[in-house]
Amino acid sequence: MSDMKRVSSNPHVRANTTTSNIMMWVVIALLPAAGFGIYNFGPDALIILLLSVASCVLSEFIYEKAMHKRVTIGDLSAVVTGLLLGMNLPSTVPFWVPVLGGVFAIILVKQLFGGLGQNFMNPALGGRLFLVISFPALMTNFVTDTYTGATPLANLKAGADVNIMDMLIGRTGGTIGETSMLCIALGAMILFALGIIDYVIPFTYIITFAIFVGLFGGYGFNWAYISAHLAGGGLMLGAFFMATDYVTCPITPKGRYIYGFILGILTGVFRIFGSNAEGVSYAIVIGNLLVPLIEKFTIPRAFGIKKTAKKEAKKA
Amino acid sequence: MRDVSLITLILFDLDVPTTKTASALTCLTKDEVSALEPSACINCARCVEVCPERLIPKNLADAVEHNNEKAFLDMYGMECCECGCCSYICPARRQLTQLIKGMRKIQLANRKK
Repeated sequence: MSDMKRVSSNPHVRANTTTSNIMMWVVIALLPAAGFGIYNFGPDALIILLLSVASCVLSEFIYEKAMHKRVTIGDLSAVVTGLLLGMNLPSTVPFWVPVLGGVFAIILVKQLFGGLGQNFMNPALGGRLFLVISFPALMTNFVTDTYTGATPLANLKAGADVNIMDMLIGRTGGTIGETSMLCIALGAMILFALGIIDYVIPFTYIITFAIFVGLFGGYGFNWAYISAHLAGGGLMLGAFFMATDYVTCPITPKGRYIYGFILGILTGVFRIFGSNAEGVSYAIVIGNLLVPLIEKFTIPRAFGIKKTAKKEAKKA
Repeated sequence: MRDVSLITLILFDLDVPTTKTASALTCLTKDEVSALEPSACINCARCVEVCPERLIPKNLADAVEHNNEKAFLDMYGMECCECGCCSYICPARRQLTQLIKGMRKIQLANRKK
């Protein structure tokens, strides 16, 4: 026995799922919605998506090289961030916008806090909000050759009629990835089927939001009004792909219900009482910031620990 | 290959005898260790879902890495039954069970004093 053997602790056999193939499935699940965006808004949308993905991956690579860290672009998380960021931009933005957003998302939101797993808010949303605050006119310009009017959500806020069928298929104005409910639902179903995301966060979020809109929207529980709110804006994309982002959602089972509930309430408040028609990005980012607090108060009781014992342990 | 025991001991040498108490011998056909380099935790909560003791293995392992004994005990770290499920499922290939086990040994040794 002259050759050295590598020895590890048990278990020696591991599940096949790895970080990179989870991320790969998320990318695949995003493709239908991204594809529809390109079909809907034309080649500009494709260029924006590619630029945003490329800038995220490159800035992660350059930062990690410069800091002499292990290069982790192979885990594809930067691709997911880039794709989500691109899908959250209107197709009319100049091409430097996705690049700037990608650099901000990866370097400021993700890498400066310690890279994958340590970022305190969703990098794609951080990047998007940075762009929205810095360049509000560019980021809310949804006028394209095909669509000249406002987004359905802005129409809804102004009290105008909206066409639910168009919103379902996605033939409306908006950001590249958010318009088509059908494509987003298809992607979400892939993730549900593979067990990559769980039902709790998106459905608590959507149901809470629907009830909130019914109570405070001013139209009562009007089916058409509530479904227009559900299908409009970034709610579906946010609920299925961004609220469920592993790194920035609570890890505890109870915490997930609380998180979904908070997101629903915040989105409702921002959409109905706020000056903006949109509210999903802000709600999710604020929700992300509350995650450590939620986790702290929802540590599950271990098997065999009595209910009273938990309180005593805290006192001691 | 997929239905082998999770909690196995390593045979460091081929001369180690096999006795009747051994229920199975597992031979790995390739260098599984180098394929299992740990990477950053992505907080996916798979370890929380599989833990039969309803613990949060990820937070326990973090507490061990930071040598934070109080946090480890507060999060019921001593309830761990060392079944290995969290290490098995972890997509980041973290050595969760190993970390928790190590801390439990230290705690048990301190208790005996």
